[in-house]
Amino acid sequence: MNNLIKMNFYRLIHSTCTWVILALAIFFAVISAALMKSDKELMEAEAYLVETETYTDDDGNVVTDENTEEISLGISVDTPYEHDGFIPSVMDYVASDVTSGMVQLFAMIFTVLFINAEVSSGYIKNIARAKNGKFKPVLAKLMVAIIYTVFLNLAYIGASLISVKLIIGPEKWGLGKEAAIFMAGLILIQMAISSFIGLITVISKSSVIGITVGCFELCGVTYVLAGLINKVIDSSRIDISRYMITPNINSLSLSMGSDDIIRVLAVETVWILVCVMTSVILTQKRDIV
Amino acid sequence: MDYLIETNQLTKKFRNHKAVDSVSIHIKKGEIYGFIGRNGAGKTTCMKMLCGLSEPDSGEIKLFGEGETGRYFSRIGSLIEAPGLYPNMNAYENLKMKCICMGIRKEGYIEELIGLVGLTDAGKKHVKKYSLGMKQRLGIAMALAGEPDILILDEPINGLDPQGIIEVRETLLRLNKEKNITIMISSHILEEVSKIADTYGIINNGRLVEEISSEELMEKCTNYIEIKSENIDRITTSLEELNIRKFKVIDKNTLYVYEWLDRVPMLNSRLAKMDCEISSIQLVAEELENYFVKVTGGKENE
Repeated sequence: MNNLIKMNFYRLIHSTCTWVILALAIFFAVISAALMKSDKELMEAEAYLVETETYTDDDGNVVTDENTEEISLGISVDTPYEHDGFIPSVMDYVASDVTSGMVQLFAMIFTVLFINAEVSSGYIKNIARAKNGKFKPVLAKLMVAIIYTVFLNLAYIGASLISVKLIIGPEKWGLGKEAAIFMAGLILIQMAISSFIGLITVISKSSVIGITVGCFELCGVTYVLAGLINKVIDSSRIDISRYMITPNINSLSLSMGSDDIIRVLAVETVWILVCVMTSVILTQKRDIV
Repeated sequence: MDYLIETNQLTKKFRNHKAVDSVSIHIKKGEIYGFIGRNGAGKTTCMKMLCGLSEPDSGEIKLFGEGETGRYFSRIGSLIEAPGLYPNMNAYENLKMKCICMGIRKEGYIEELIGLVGLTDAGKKHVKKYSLGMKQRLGIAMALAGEPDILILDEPINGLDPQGIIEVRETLLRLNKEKNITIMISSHILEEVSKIADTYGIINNGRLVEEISSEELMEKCTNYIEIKSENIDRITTSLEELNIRKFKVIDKNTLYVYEWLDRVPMLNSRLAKMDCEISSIQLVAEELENYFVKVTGGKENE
């Protein structure tokens, strides 16, 4: 197993895809910081501090609502802004950026390509054979893909921190305990996404299906699915989306409560275990080629 | 241990179709086993099971005389169907990965393998730019990584040009003779396999129809001169006078001669000079391919 992991690291280092995706992620971290700066300048110019929504109630009175929580489908960044004495730190901008789904998209594409390459090229025939160890190449591959996605997230966060500081220039870094918990949660969610997409790729043996499912997942289809399930089970107490992989990204914030932290950690850990175990069992039961 | 590879009633089904049906193969240590069958006969499925890539539905596989095959799969090098190679890597990198996987750290080992299959000149060229023959040769090098005792090669000469076929054949013979590697090689081209194989397994519609040694096969396919005459006794006396000992009387008018195969006109004239009355004389040769077609049921199975 150790040799298989070493082999996959060799492949990782010698794969063009590794470096292209890393370079793209860093590039988009810089672009994202630049876009947030222009967004911030626009908001300041319009003195647009709080997004409000007005409508007329049944009695004809004009009612103003403050949107405190909003779920956006697709990949978009909500630029933090100064309001009520709150001055965003570097980490506030970065937190907003990394939960947009961009880095998760890159990591997802990498996971699919990396895992499926062995099957599509047929290389797996050279290394998988032991009667009770057919699963090992896939397990090793999943582990290395997950490690890479963690590295990719850290690289993106690093690039984002530096870009935000240089381009937007907030005074405070905001790198405290909350930031560490936030990043741990984010990385765990990323690991779960990679495990899930890895499982889909193992099942389908297809990069196209893997990437398509991954895109749907990151564009918020899970919310729609969770909404349907909530409606079907007609439950007002349980929100299914809180127990799914991707929607937990929206639960992440620098000020999240301990209940949320525990839930995110537990849910994502269970998903990682379930996805990896299912991939392993499936590979062991299947013929290699 | 009589056999390095032995299967007993090996069967593999895909839904209701038996791709391999009760196949019992016997491969001795140090021999080259030619596994012959038409496309779709079940060669590849059978070989995949022997390599541990696929699980049989029933039957038994014995490797190195033992039924517990798991620990012996690492002693088999295989090339099944197309070579499994990363196209964006070069030969060295592809082999390096296999060596890391097998825990091989010997200095110069990869270069040695590349040299063995004649790919030294390929340099750092990516595999995606290789010709089919180069890929096949690299596939053989991949199979050789880890010094296997058994090589299982599924149609390794497919797509090779005549020069490539000769090179692969010579490489396999060298490996067999110098390193005593037992080789199982499949092909649907009997003529090619016949140049290197010691034993043949002929598979048709998933069933092993015959397992035959090279000597037995050659005997069955030996060329001979067929002589027809009203006076066979006179012919046999004349043949003995010509010092020809290998002949067989088939019936009162027919006789087969197994010598002087390249001198049929001369034999004809000598016998005529010796006052032998010959109705007809001709060289008869059963080609290996014809024999194969006959054994596999010919066109009836198509």
